[in-house]
Amino acid sequence: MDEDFDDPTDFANPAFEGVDEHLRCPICSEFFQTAMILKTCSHTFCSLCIRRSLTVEQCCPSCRTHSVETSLHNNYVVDNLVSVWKNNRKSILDLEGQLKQANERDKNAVTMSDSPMDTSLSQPTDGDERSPPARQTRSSSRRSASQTSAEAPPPVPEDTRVDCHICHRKIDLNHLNQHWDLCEQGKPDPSLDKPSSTSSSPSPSAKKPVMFGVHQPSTSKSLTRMKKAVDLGKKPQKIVYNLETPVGLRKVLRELGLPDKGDKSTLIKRHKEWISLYNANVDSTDPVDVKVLRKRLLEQEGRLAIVTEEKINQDGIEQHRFGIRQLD
Amino acid sequence: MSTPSRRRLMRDFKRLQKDPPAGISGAPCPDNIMLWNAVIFGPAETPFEDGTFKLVLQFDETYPNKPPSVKFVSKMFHPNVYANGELCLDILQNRWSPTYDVAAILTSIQSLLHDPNPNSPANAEAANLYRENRKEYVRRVREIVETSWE
Repeated sequence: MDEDFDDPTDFANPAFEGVDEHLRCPICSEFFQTAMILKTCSHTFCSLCIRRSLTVEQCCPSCRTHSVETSLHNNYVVDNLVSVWKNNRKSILDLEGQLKQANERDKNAVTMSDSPMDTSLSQPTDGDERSPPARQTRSSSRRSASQTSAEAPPPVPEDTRVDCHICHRKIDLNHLNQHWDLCEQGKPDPSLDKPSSTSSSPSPSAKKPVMFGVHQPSTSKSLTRMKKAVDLGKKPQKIVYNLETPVGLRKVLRELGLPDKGDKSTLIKRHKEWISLYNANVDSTDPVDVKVLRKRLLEQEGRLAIVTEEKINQDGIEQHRFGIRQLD
Repeated sequence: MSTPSRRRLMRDFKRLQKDPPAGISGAPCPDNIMLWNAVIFGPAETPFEDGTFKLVLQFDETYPNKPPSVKFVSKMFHPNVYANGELCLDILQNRWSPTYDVAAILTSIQSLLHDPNPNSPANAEAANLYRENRKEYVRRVREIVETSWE
């Protein structure tokens, strides 16, 4: 139906499917577009989706916590994740396809030769069957858990160093608590000066805290700076619609460069939608010119107008009473 | 023409196919993604057990900001279903959330069969029988269960 239609179900691997799903707005099911987090409940939506929803009802669509537009904040991390994921989605899908083909080839190879691979594969399941399933007391499960952990192979040696959140240097995990105590008081950590604890010899510049945390927001800051390049148009003001006459509303819409046609309810809908579109555009790190935004508003109105003309004709439903019988 | 609503409905359908909730099925009409046919199987251990109840869901371009209109096509005898098959269900009216999808709507209707709400009756007779004469209520429901097979 649509070539650029992407969906989490494109992935066979549940992990990739999960990532793809979690990077989508719960309202529109598209990848987050200008992700906004509600500070009242921490749920995240596209800017336009949540702004529209809040004009209908002032609550979080996911958990119904009372929320207003001022509860919204940009969630730049999500925006960055979405853009990385979108740029690499196709490669990951291709890789997944290749992996699947390779696996199938391997499987065929195994079934053709009566290799010992088969028996080695079936062994773990035998083991599972032997272990008592349901009738496990808590102490026995604890015992078995400790057993398995004792039997488990020693963990693969890996870099146990983590970033200190204060000075952003690599600190050994076992030493982290002591390091924090010193770091919080602004004292130097003597263990870090030992050449053995850091792989590279600490140069004077490396001793200075490398501000990783500050580095990343700076990319989004540089993106926000781009906003000034486009004309965002006049900021629309909220109106108490009950107090406005159609004449007054028309004047407001004209001043915003919008059409002034239609009855009062149409004018109100147009004004509300414009506020959502306008604010979502301001939230965006890549806003469009006000003229593009006006065009979008009109396109949308066009779509809705077609709907009202076609609106739920009973004949349509009657016809499908036949169709529905084929469903079961 | 692909619009946000249509794309959303296509994803709803993919999700419904991928993990179908127990006892419900639904699909858009082949020529119109805005019109869906659905079947809800009567939940076990309720008078509706073994029934196959058919519904139509009509969406428009305001979806998911506004709920679709949902209607039973099969004959229904339930405190919260009107004679014409329309439902009195909060999530399809004032408690709608744009995060709901087709699976969520159908699951809610299924649970409505399980737990009728006699305080907001759409069918006064069904509501009265449900409250005061459960035996007769069950008998009337079994009747429509049987007609649902036809």
